[in-house]
Amino acid sequence: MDAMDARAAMDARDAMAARAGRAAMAAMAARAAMDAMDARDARALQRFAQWCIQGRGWYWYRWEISWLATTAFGADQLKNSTVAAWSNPLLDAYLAGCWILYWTDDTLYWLAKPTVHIEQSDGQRRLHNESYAALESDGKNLYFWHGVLVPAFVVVRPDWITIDHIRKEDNAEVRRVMIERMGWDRFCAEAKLKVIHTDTLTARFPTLPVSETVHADMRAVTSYREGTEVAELLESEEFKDFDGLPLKFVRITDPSTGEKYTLRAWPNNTRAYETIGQTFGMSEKDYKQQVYTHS
Amino acid sequence: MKCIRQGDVLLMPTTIPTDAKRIAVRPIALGEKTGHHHSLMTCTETPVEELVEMYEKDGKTYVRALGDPTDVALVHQQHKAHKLTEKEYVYVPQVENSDWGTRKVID
Repeated sequence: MDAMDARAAMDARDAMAARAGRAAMAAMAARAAMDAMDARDARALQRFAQWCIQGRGWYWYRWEISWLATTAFGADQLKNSTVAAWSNPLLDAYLAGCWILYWTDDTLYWLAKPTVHIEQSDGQRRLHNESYAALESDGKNLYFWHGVLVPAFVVVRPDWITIDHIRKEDNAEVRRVMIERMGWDRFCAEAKLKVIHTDTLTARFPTLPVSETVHADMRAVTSYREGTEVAELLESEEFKDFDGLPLKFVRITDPSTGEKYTLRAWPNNTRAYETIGQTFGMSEKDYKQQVYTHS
Repeated sequence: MKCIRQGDVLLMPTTIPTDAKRIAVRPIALGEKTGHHHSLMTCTETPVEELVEMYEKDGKTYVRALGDPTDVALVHQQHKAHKLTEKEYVYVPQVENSDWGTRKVID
């Protein structure tokens, strides 16, 4: 119970911060938050909304009502009035539009069912909306681009994305989406990037796609094909690091997802796979020889 | 040595230190912005917790396959699956340069 109490207290703190920050919304707020890097309430609100949809499973202690409310059917079937006394109001709340209920000693938090926008990809559903929030909720609207949670302006105003946003973004997935939304040509033009080395790596790539919809019996039945990964090392004429050296990036095409990822390289890197090896603490030679299978 | 790479996760064959602390089997890495995870799964009837063990030492995470390693695969919602081929691995997280020095890649 101590752990549950602690978790409940943490969640309550997030919920209170979420309420306090409710006014901070949408694209301008998101961009301002990124630029200022100090919008504590907005970030807490986002954490809370993220927890609602990405928490660890849909267990009863997560207060998601659709699961809990089904208890009322069992109580009715078994004529259990004690259980019906608390489960019927939950069923009523669910039918009235409630999605998540959370309570502390003196406060009941109610979140209505969100409006979600999804797309099908590789046999699974993921959040995506090209023009607005992919999840519209009482807590906070969340913007997803093909399943990746991003700041609002990345979806609705990609023309606002700057090299500085990309450079300061810690998350590689978000950075990838920012570059995609900005457009590779514009990214290269604004950063004055030039390719200083291109290389390839031929290795074994699994052929079986994996998603949550793939039957469990199929998950480990993996066949392999030979494939080639392409990597480029790029140098910026426009942007320098603190030592005045030009910023370098390595760009790899992920052979598994088909996505293109850009990672920041080290100033002394001169070869694409020298950088990639270094990202795993290996030399270029060791990386090329020892990485047996890729995805 | 046959390393397995899946996105920002590298499993490198190794010998697990004898004094490494055993930990519960859990996802190897979590995606902060996608809710996805790199995890070990199996297609056998046996629960994966009975096919692998995980250990920690000095901030490193280790994986040990107890039986046939090919019964276990490294999976991710958007990547392809990889069967394990070796008995013991260490998880090597990908890093990159930044304005503030080398940092772990997060996704």
